[in-house]
Amino acid sequence: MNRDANKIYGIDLGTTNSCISVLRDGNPHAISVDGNGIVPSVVSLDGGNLLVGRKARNRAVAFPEESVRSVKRLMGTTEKLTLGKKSYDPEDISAMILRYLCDEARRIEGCDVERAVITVPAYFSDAQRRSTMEAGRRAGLTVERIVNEPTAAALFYDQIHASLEGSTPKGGKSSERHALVYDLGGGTFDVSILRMGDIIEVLASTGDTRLGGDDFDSRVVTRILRQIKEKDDLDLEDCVPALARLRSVAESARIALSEKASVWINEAHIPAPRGKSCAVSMELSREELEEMTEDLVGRTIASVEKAMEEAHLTADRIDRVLLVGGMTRMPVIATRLEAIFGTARMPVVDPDLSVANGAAIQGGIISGENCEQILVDVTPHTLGLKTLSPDEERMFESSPIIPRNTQIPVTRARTFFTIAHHQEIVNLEVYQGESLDPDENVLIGETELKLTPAEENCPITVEYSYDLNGIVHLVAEQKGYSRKTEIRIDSRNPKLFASQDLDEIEEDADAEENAPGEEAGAINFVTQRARSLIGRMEDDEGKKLLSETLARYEKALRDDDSDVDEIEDDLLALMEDDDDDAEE
Amino acid sequence: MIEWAWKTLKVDRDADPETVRQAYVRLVRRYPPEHFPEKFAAIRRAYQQLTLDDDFIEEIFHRVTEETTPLDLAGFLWGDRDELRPDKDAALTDLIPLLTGADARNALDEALGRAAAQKIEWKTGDEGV
Repeated sequence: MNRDANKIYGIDLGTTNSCISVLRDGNPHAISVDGNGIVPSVVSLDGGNLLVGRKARNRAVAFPEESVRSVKRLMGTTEKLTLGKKSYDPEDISAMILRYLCDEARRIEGCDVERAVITVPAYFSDAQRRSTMEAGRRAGLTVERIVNEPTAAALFYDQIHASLEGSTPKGGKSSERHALVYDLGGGTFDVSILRMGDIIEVLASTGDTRLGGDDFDSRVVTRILRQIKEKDDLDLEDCVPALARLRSVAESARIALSEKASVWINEAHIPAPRGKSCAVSMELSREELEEMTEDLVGRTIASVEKAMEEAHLTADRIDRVLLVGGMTRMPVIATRLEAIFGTARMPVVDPDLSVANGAAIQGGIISGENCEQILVDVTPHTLGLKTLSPDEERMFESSPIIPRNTQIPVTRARTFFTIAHHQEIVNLEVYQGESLDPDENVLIGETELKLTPAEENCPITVEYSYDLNGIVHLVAEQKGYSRKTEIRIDSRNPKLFASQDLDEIEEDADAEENAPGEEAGAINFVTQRARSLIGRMEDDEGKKLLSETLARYEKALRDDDSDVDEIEDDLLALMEDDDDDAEE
Repeated sequence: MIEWAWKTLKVDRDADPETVRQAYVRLVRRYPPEHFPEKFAAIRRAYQQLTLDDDFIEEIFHRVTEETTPLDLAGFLWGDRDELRPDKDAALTDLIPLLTGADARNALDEALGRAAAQKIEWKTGDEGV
């Protein structure tokens, strides 16, 4: 079978498990690695042999020092990890997982995996996103986009939903629904609210990047440790081999409790300090588990409420609740959400695979393979400018220019004023984060604007643009003096931001416009449907007419002609006739 | 500003919120953000203006100073991007067709009410850079 080597793969790089998916005939398929779509995000070094996935997870129980798990929780930090004798960045470990997924996918699909969309929790910070991007690069991938996990899950859900309803033509009656995606994974929690209809818009996104299954397991481990302490008077809190074993036991018990009301934890030969060992035998009920993790679940519910508030919606206006992430199999999660949203609102989707499948769909949107679904996502964090504070408490504050949950791409401007007579310069420092105090936010770029001598209180307009790839573009202008400065901040690579004078930038812009390959543009669902129809048509004359109309339409789109409506109607009418003919 | 928004979304002056929404969705499908980022941003902006979306109101607040009167605000809405229109009476007349649909009216009433109260919330004048 001739498969396109240029396909964009979707990768869910999870805390506990990862998954890779690809579009086949427009539908996403999770690729089965080692007989399973879900691959444990664990690496282990066995002598000189690097293991990833299931084998690594099994080995990690016996050899925790030679294994790394839950590396996602360290993304965006500078923490070093040791594996055998060498030390690694979190990006290196993630790259090993990515490489493994891609190699396996290549083996199964029979073509190279070069381009990928990788998902991250919606609430991941700029640094965590950059770190994920870097991991992709180190794995030799072109990372086409970093996509938010709940958004990806919603895209997948939207696609199954559309196929279940049959191919009702879109663009007809508006039947918009609000969906809430509750995504509790191994290490992170996200909640997003989306409006879904002919287009999919994210309205609000929030979460906690350090809350997940690992935390639930830790509670169970603590409980077992207490039992051992009471029974054998042994303190295993600092005993790494014992903890690795108990963690694995705790995870199995927690998973089993999603099905059963109670489980027995029987574990012998648990390694203890000074060559000793011990055993544990105890019963754990679902009720006890729920009790000891009640605060964790409570935190997720608080985020759900915050997201609804930010989307200006009440619970009765949420039509669907989508559960994503293996942790949502815990019955108490569904119970708590049912109490808020009612049972009818919870459709069944595969909580493990939907994120990777959604990422593959996003890959199709980028490549132009899929133009039926249109996604409008939001900025996860506020972008602000460091300004003098009017408060007496602090010297500076971060004045928001693009607030979080703003739909992207977007351009926003705000006017500020100089404080000194004949002020010579203003420093422009771009901060990301929700705090009023710039020091609690992250500096992602800076530049300065030289001023023409003027009275104090001279207005300075600062404009931020944020594109689909998370690149921030800043333009500052001294009003009435037309002194301008611009910088481009690639939030994926902040060290490379450049500050330029406007003249140079205009030259750059010209150069970019003439760059080859940028021409493609004009792609939407109409053009893609027309192209596919032309490919299937046999009547030469009809084919020619349709091709000509399509060319006129594409030109009108590019030039933003006023008669684009008319041409679109012509084209759609032509396509309808030709479609009927093709079917006959 | 509002004239531009009507034109961009290709809707009539008296379009109700549902019609505005449909026009917006139709245009976003034609100009998806993935392949038409600039055109999309313009459509989005026009939609926010016509629905007097919170973000847009917020943006207006950020642009208005202590001295701004409701009429100045109207002028700002109706004039060009950055200009306050000198002809205030004409600006007020122009406001009338905007007041269609309960949501839009409430939002604008609130905005104008706050403009009249004028004093505290809108000042951006004392923020130095």
